[in-house]
Amino acid sequence: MNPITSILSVVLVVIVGAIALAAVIFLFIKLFGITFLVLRNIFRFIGEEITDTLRFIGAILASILFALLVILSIVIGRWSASKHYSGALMAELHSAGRCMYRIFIGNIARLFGVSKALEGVERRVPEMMAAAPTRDKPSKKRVGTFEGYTIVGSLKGGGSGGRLYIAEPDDTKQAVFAKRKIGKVDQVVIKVFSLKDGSSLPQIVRESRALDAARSLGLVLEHEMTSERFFYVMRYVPGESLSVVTQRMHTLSSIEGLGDDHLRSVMGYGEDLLVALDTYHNAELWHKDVKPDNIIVDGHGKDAKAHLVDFGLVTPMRSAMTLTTHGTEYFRDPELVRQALRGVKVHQIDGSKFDVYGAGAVMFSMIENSFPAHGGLSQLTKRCPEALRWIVRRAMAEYDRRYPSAAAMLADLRVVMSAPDPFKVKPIDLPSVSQGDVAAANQIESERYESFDEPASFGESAGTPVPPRVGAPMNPDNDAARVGRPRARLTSWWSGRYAVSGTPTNQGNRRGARGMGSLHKAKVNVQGHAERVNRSLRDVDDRKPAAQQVKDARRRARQMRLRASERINSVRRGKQSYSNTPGATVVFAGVLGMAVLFAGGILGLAMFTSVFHHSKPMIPSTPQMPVVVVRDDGRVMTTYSESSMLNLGGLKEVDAQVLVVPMLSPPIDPELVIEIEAGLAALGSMGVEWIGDLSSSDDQAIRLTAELANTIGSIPMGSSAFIPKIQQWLETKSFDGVLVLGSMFGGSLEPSAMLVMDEFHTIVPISERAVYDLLLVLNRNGYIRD
Amino acid sequence: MLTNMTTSFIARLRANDEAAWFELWETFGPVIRIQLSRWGRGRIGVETVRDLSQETLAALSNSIERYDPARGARFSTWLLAIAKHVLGDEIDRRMALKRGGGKADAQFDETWMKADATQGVDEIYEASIFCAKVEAAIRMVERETDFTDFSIYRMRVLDGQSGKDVASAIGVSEPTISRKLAKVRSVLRARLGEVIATYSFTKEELAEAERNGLSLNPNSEGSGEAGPADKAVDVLFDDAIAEIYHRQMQLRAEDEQALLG
Repeated sequence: MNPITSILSVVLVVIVGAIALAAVIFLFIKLFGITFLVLRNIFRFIGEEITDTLRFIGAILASILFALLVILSIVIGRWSASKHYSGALMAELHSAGRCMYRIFIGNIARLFGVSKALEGVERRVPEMMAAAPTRDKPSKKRVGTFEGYTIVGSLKGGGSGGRLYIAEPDDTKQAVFAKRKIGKVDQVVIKVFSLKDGSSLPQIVRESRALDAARSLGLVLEHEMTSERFFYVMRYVPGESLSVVTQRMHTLSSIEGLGDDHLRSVMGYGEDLLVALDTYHNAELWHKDVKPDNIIVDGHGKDAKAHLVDFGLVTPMRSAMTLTTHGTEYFRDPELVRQALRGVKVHQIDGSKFDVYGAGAVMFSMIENSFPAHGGLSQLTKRCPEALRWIVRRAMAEYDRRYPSAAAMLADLRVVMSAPDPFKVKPIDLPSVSQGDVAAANQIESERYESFDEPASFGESAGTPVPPRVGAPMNPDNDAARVGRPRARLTSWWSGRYAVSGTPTNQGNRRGARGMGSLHKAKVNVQGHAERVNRSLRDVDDRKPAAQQVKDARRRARQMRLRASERINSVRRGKQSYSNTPGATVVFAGVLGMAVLFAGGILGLAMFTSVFHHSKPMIPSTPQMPVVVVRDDGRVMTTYSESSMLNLGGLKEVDAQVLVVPMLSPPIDPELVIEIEAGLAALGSMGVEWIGDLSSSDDQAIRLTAELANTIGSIPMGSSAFIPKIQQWLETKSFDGVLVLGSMFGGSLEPSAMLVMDEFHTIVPISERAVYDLLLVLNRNGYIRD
Repeated sequence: MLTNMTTSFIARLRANDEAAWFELWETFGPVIRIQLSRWGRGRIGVETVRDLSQETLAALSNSIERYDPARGARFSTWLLAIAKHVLGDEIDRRMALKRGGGKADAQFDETWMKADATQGVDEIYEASIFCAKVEAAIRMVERETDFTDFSIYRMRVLDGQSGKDVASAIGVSEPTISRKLAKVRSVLRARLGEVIATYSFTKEELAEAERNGLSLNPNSEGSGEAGPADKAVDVLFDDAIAEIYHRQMQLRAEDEQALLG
């Protein structure tokens, strides 16, 4: 054999051998890896089965215990306790159900690697259930009725805490709307906050604060505020939220991103949003909660139009209030949080820039089908024209570097929209880059003036969630500002009769075919100003005869008196026959408990004995002499000795005026309400003058609470800065202290009362002793007279 | 070993400067959330993770008073220990509630305060902390530099577009692009140095940038004489920044997925 051939053969054999060895090792590792994986899965499965079984047993045992406690509470007449235990029972049963699910379905699916198939059941179903609208008909007892409206459905409430109902106005209401030149309103949305239905006073204060702003834009048709509830009525816009529309667009597109048509829609929705924001900003208002869930898309395809809704956080830009961090994470500029933490006032910053950030974030979410978790640094990975990417990034840039106004952003967006191929538009082609921000914004301004002379009616558009364009410029010196404003013209010197002329009318359907080539002109309307003028300058012919006017006035006064007396009666009834009737949960728990009781036998008896000892009141009914400790920070703490009694007769008259700030999270235990009311009454009888009460129906209390809430800003109740802030605020007030009723002091969930006075303060659990502890602090602060 | 920046930052935290706390939360919140999710192994819900990550920072406010820099713990270890403590506390609380009892006072474990060789280092976590620092520096640069300048850096380095494309998109020449890049890069180096100095307790942490290919002071390399920045070092720096940025994006996406459920 040729030596070269033999060498080659040897090399070949070595190479083949090495490859074979490598293949064997590779296969061995792979097989071993698979075996290891399978074994790991099996052991994990066994472990999870055992754990879940034990959890299930534990949950069942706890359920039995809770069921017995429910029975016991019912037997001894403690309804609130029975409600409390039945809640715990339901939680345990829920936990047991989940364990059952995992034992028989979830863990097995995971063992065979098909857990993804259960994602729908495990995630989406609970999500959809949580997002389902509330009951279609409001509870008359808790929410009340809405005169003139028929409730036909409900909507899912947002983060504001209010409930949303869809209603149809009756003929009388329609006539009222027609008289107010609002036009035909088929359906309305009623947003209601009821203290009896879980809403809290701060929520009502916040929402009502935005009401004036919303009214100035003609968004609110009607509102009512009573001691128990607050509601307002808006025009209903049927449609889907932008987040749903976005998801659908992405489902229909490839994984790389949206197709051309959908990108056009995205820009169209963006344009609608910016037009609405521009209107808000021209009216010196800041929307403050721009996010996809607050944008409703009405219509389909090219006729679709986006409406900005929910003005629960709308704030006048010149407000002297302290900036708060309200808003929605990821659609709220982090700079807003920073500024709020610094305690700046609203008028010290430019709120419109935060709305611009929100608009950029909304456009980001439409393009990416996600939210900008990275703030301004969030990456746009999906298919998108470079110029549009620039616009989104500029909108979400740092506060000083982003678009100065929605108008400047709108000008850029319209250039991309109007291009035959938006992918060919470069950032340099955008007006803000090539000409500067001011020139870009001026383009929009000039369009506004150009279309100002076009006829427009404020009747049709009034009350729509997207406010009509406020065309009248804010600068009164500008000549253009006076164009198209309604004027009063004297028609008869003899009778003094006059007529209003120059009333602008709607320019019709502004949205034509939406296309890349169509540039939508800004709709202009002077509705806000014109309506005010029109109301005050109503033609004398419209007026009723004097006798009729007097009759009407008397009728209105009679109705007001009736309503007031009804309110008083309802409050009285509430006090006299206050009851917390057990609900379906309690009944269910009761039945279950009875069954368990019979089945449990001896075990139940043993539990009963142990629980009976537990259910004894922990706080002795007779108050004992407290030992008072004053800490360095001014907090007064008390402990009680077992020996002596506090002599109430020895106490002198209290001379203090204290603001009551109820901040208890709903639902509030009725027993707790009784206890608090009794405590307030006891202290009141000793001379404490309360400003406000638990229901805080007092106007002064509402105003002061709102002012205090603004002062405190985002400082949590448990924070050490909370009390000094109140004390600082108190220095500017004529009253002497603030009593905050809450349940989040110092990390404890126990309902407590925090009394803050100029020097000393205390935090005490709401119990029979609270009255004495509060008296001690009043004494420490020198408010008890000899 | 603490730098002046670290001590002044700790002083701000001790003084309850809310802006400092927010800065800490914004920078390391996602890392803590993901770490808590990993520890919880799906047993704790998204909302709980969010609450716990906030509680972690709240717990810092207590532990910061007792922090002893002389004992040599890493900044990352410090954060990790607090997060672990908070999670443990939550589990204890749940167990206590399950048993029907109240919340027992948890003893705070302060062994982490000293350097411990036996303590296992979670590499993923350490990398995440470093990426968070780089991200914080990029964010500072975004705030500080002109929007167009930063956009050029972003398009060229972070998005990986060619210099020619960027020049055409912005409507400037390629040499201008190079000049703008150099300007932003130098600011980024300075801010990165500051961020690392602020959030580092040990020498090892201070040297992390160089270990990850981020030369903070290229002019002093080699002979030690000042001179024009070496192009190769700049390219390496930009590549490392882009890689870290994308890794951080990945982490944010993971966090986002968890939030979306």
